[in-house]
Amino acid sequence: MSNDKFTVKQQEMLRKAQRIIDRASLSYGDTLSQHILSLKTSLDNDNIQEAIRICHLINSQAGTFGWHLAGELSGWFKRVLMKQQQESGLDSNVSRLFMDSLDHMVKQDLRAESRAAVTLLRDLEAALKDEDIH
Amino acid sequence: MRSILEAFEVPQVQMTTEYNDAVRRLSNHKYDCIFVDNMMSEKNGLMLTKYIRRHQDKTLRKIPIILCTAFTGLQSIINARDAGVTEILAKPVSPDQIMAKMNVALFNPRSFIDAEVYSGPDRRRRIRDFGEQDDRRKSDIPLPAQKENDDDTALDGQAGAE
Repeated sequence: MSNDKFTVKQQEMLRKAQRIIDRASLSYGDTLSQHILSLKTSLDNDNIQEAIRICHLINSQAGTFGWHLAGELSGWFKRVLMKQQQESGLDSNVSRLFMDSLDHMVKQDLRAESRAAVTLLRDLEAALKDEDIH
Repeated sequence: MRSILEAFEVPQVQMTTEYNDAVRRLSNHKYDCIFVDNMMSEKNGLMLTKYIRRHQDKTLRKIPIILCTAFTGLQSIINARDAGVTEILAKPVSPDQIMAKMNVALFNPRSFIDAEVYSGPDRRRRIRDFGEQDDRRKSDIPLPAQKENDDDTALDGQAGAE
């Protein structure tokens, strides 16, 4: 954070906000698990609209709480779902790939710059390109 | 977002996920700043932005609007700009980004353009001072040949010296 563009009062506010985020980050893994569970339920029920909404929620929140890769992946999943919604409908194989990856991230606690998660994302991207989906 | 804004001592924060609810609240309350998400329920944040920018109430029309979005491609930015968004906040959001965008939108706003074809903050973020003539972009269209003793030559610094 570059402090020179903020007043002293604003810097104090920023520190306060950062403390709130740091506290929330500690339990965000649990929140993320719940979102993934809801996402699975909506996909099982072929409710693409709800699945898109949950992906958007994860995409919006996860990065802020330190789960950058989960945020990226859910944003990517959201775009795939939106495309599927407009075109062919839900592809369960693609959904399973994304769900397995998100599940893996939470269970293995893969946050931020984790090398394992980066490898996982790249493998997934390559698989999707092979399938001509992405 | 609410927690961050409260940490910034924003006295009142109202949130809604429904477009129609947002429209209803806008007619009943006065707001200093509006954060819109690119993806609301049935209509997105840009639709709400367009609604506000075309509103007949001049005060409402000029409210600073900050768009929170994960779509930061060039076309998305152009769409947001043309809808009349004041600032764009890229996700994932962080407190310093929010503070910086609020600083610009609330305390250092661009002039507001209220024209028939566009209503919103001036879409030009910087006004270039061309300074030396050579800095200007060259036109592909040839200029018409200049007549001798044309009045325009008076613009030349040497003209008045004789």
